[in-house]
Amino acid sequence: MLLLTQVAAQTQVTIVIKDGAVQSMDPSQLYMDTDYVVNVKVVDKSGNPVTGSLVEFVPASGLLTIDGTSSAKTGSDGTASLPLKFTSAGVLSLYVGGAKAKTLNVYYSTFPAGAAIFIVGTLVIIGLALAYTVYKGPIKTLRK
Amino acid sequence: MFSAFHGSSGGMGNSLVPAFMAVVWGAGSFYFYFFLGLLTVVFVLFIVDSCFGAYTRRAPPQAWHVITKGNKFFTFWIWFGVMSMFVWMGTATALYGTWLTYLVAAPFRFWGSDPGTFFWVTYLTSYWPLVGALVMCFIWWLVSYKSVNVWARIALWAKPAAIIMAVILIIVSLVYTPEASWQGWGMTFDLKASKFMSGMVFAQAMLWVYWRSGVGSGVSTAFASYLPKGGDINTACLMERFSDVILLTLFALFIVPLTMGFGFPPLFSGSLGLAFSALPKVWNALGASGIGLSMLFYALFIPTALPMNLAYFETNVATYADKFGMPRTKTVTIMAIAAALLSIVFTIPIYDSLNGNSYGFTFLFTAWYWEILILGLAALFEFIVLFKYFKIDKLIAYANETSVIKISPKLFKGLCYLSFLMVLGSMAYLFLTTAGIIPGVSPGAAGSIIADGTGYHGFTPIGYAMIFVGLGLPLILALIWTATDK
Repeated sequence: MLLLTQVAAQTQVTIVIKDGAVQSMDPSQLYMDTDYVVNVKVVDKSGNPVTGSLVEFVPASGLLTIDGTSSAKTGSDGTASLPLKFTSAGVLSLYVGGAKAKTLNVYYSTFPAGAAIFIVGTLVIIGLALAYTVYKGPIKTLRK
Repeated sequence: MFSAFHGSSGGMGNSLVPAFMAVVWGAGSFYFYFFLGLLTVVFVLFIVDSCFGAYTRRAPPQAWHVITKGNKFFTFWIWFGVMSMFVWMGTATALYGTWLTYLVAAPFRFWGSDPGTFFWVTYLTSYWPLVGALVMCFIWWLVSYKSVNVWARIALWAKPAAIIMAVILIIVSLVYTPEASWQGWGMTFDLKASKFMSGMVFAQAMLWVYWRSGVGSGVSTAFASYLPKGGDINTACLMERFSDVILLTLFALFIVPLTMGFGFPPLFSGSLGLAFSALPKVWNALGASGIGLSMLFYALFIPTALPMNLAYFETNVATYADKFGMPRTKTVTIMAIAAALLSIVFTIPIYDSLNGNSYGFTFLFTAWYWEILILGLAALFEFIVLFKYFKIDKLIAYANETSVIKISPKLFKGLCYLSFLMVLGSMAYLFLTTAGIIPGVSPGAAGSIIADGTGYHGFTPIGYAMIFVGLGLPLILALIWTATDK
């Protein structure tokens, strides 16, 4: 189970991709509105650095937007460094060499007011409308 | 009528998946258009459908035939909508047979330690989906054989039951994954001004409006044709529409948090992957309490999906009984056999390596895609039939006459025009986008007709077979039945 406790904001993120799959990620969670330098190290099956591999972060959900460098090629040490910031929470796909290596969540640091307004607004307005309809319809009819 | 409306707008996938579609397409903006469509387009079309049925006392195609004074062009479109749901019967037995199987087998955790491989490879390429589908056909036949009234009385309680079950699952998600809850709610409902202006967000939301409600398939027409004089169409429709929006909100409040809380990105675009692949991993992780929770979850299909299954089944029964003048019992038996035969196609147990499931389920997904498009077009022509033949003033006067809650004719007229524009706009946007005409939007972004309509097999023999089942079969049946209408 994921523990979604907020960790202290960190600028350096290290992700190790071995043979196309994420081997490790530190820290394990990303948050919106935090300035990151994401260092993605790509190694082959034997652990040798892979040079010239394209590393890309692609938003997989509608709200997520990325400010900064979202794609770069790995250098001679097999590492690509991407300075970036997520301006909204959502879901992110990490592609390495054109293949999807992992899908990541980018979390909110605080509960967004827009969502609170939408949820409460919908349940209250539609709930009241339903209650009124039930009162005017079946309840009044039964009373008669 | 409440049961009919609930039946028309039920289903498991289209209760669960909008939350994931919202995460993908624009969160609160998606839900805004989705709910707007459900409260305008669906509200209006349910009233229209019901009045067509109550006024003519006929099943949908025969009702349109009477209203349009025998106009074959318009009658064809409702035949097309109903026949797409005829094919849908086969998909529904295949899918809900699987829900039933998982409900029965949940206490034994028959999916084992690797539920994903079990479902996509082992289960789908076995004959169990067919067995489940045939059991569903038998249930449909059993419930429908004698009378639709018994089922309608039971279905009356389906929506409140589903709402109560959803509330329980929200509490469960809050207990097990408290931090994930608010994160999930944020990703599902957050509002961003730029997304309100996106044509794609609007069009995708509208597709789910058609799929959620089955507008254009005439369910309410069929049920309203049975109404005694004095049926309260308005009140039933308002109650069902409002409770449907509440139900959909509650489903979104538990499914995304549960998914995220147990380590899955909230991006499942299909209900099958979520229900039968991802969540069983959660049930396993929860230990003994996972058994009870899984049974509660799979039992959700009883109040949400079963009324829908029987509503569409009934529409086909009413349509064919009217068409051929057959007695109800005989028609029910023939329809159950037809559903069983169709289910064979949608449970073909051969592995489709391109899609990672069985060919049967690729047929199923593809048929659904065509059905959404057909329903959207049928809904569009329903508005035209209303404007040209029945007339809005006459319709709302007819609905108000026997309803406790009266609807303002001016308001209803405004809603009709707004709804027509919304349907027209969404369909035009999708077709133009698929054709690559909208600047800045790639054809693939809309879900290209060639890709989705061929089960991603393209113009190959298998792709043509997909087109035939999803589009060709309803089209041929609709053309034959329209041509032979008297």
